[in-house]
Amino acid sequence: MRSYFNEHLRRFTVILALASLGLFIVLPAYGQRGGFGRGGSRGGFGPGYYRNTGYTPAQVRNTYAAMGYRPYGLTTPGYGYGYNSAYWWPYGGGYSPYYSGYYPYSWYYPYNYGVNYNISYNPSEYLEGAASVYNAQGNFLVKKAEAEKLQAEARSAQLENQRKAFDQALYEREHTPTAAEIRQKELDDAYRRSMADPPISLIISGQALNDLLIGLAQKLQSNPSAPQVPLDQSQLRQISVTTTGERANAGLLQQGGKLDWPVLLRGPQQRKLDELLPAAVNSVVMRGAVDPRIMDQINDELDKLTDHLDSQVNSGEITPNQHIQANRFLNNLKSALRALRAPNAADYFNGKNMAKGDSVPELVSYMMQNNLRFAPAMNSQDDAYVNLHRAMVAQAMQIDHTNPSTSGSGFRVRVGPNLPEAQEAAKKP
Amino acid sequence: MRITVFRPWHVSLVAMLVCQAVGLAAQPSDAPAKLTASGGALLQHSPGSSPPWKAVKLGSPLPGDTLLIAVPEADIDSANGAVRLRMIADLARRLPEPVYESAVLLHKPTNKDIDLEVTLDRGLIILLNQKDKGPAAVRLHAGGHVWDLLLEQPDTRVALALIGRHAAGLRPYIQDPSKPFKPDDHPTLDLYLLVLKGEIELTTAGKCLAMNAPPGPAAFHWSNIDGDDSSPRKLDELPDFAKPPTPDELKLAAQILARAKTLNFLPIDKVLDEARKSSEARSRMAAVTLMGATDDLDGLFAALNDPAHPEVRDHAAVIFRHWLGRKAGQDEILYKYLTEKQRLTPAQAGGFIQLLHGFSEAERETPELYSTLISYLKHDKLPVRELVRFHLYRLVPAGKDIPFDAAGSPESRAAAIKKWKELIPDGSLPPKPKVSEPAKP
Repeated sequence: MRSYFNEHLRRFTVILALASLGLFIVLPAYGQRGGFGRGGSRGGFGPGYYRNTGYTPAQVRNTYAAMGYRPYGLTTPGYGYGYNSAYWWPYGGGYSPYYSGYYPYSWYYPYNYGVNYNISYNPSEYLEGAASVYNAQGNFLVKKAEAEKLQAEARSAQLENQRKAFDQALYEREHTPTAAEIRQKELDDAYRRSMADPPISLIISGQALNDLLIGLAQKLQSNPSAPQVPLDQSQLRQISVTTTGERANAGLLQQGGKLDWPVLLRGPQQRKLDELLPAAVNSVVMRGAVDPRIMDQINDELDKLTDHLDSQVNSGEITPNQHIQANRFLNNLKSALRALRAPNAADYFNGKNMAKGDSVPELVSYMMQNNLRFAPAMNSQDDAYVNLHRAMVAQAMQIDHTNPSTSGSGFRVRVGPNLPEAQEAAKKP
Repeated sequence: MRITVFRPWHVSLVAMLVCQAVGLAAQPSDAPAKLTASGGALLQHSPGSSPPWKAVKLGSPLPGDTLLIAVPEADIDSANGAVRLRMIADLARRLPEPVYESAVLLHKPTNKDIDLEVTLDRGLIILLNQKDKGPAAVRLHAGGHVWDLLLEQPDTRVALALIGRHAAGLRPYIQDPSKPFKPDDHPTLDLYLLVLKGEIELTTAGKCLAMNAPPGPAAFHWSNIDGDDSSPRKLDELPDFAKPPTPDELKLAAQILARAKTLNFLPIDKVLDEARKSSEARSRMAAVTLMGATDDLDGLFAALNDPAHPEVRDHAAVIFRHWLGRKAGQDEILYKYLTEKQRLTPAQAGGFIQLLHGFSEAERETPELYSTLISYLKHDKLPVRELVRFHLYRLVPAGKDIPFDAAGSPESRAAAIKKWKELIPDGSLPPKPKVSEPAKP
């Protein structure tokens, strides 16, 4: 009998030992996995968090899920996880918050904060554990409700923000100028700049004249009966025009292709071009388009001339200013050749693409109807451009004088109660 | 019988006394001023001698009608001690316009009521009333104009700056190299007056103006184009550039003054030679400034032709322009130097001067200017390339990242020229600089 009891006791002890050993193996495995991820704690959700707060990882996860936070990136719909969802806990299914007394981090955590590591098999602890479970369940429901409330508030705030954002966008749209308004302002500014004594460079580039052209076209529409400023026809013939969108300026070739070359550019290429250019102009006038073979030869000679000018840099006989003048002539010639290549090249030589009109309003009307703009002045046209600018400014002032509502002087007279003039006026009976 | 024996020391003593008597007799008794202190050296111009510039000894009387240049600072007291004239240079670059050196000519006062009569040739001076009581009178000549200043109380101080510059743009006479110069092509001269302390009375062109240190009517301006201001300008406080120097500025000044003092012991060409070869960029550039101050055109041209130091070349261009703006007639002096000494053709000399003068606003609006400047980057002569680089990188800030050394290899220069042509194609103006923040007042 004794041996039987000893034998069973020995077996029971071995089984108990093995069972205990198994528990120790399994339990630390959970204990070692901290927070929401495998391999250690993350952020504030390490073992200490759960110990200190009394929440299980699932409870915390559920709460954040209720707030819209998906710590695992799972696609579980709605907020919150199902109680029995195997996805509550990433380490495997079957975990339930109802599992009695199971707080893996409370007794494995190596930095013991007074937790008793000893496992005691005590029935009274079961009762305590069961009470804890009910307590936890109650806490959990409370926290879940709080989470739901938080989420509702968050959603409401989101909707409110969306509405405010919409209101703000509407406000901005109402006060943001449209593209058309911006463009009109730019035109008005350019017009005022061109009226107010612009630099000579702006005039001879044609920019100031074009700004005035657009502005005058608008003003003349509403003031067709304004007094008309006449134009000097001999000077008007010197004005070069181009069609809108082109960088072509046929001014240099208006004399049938005969050019007055600067000294620096005279030479063999110049002599060849003196033969080719009139031929090119003639082909445009007779046939409406330039002969491609002639144009190729012109381009070749022009390239040689450009290289020749470039090589003059080291010549001891020219100044930088002479070089600049020669460069300007070549650029004007290239611009004239662009006019020859244009589809409407003939218009530059049949009288259509020209500045025409006995008065400024007639000139403006003609140019706008034919989509013409002022091209940059050629070498000897500066005076004509300056005089035309003066005439256009005079016309604008005539219109403003006739109709003050169209005045764009930019100056406004303010009358207020604090100004001396207003005070004096107030004193009078 | 008593025999008097003359020992050697007797002879020495007598000789010394005789020499002193002779020396005293030789000193001009009507010297308008004397050098009281020098932060560096005061150079006196003696056109006939070699070298033409010599340092004046401390305490020496200063001759009248002789150009004096402070390198960089000097104190001169009037003969009666009533007025101190301090010549200074703007070492810390505080002023809105550059002052690289100060130069004056002293004159014997035209009447007994004037304590100091001086011509301000260029630069920055401060006048100080040193009397124990009562006003001190100064007659100032500048730019062909005359002002009388009465410094009312002791310790009254007033600063004056005369700055000259030509307007940018092509000189019309350069278009015809055979007749390059007009005698009436004056630079714009500006005289600025600022009362630093106390009160003054300024008499000019029949007007008598009362001025005092801020807050009050403290500033006055004259130019050879517009004449006098109609009245002084009120200031609430001294401008920033008139406030006391910072520790860093004092440190910089001390370094410069220490080097400048060597002019008192060594000939100027030796000092310049050492400074030019110095390993410090600041010394090399100071040498260039001194060359400009002393009209050393050989040195300036060599600096513009220095293949090893790009900062020296750049500063030489600045000093050349500063030199040209000193007064009318500088163009002609430079033209003669370039054609006779440097053997440039008339067109080359005219082009060189044109590049120094820069380009007017109208010229800057023409695309051909930029294509020409880019072409000139491959000029044979380093000074021309350097002047072109000087303008191109200032006119077109968008190109500041294109590396270009005027003394670099032809391949590196060709690569830079290619990038410039991509930035500014033929027939186009350069891209406008982007304005990212409002301009500061």
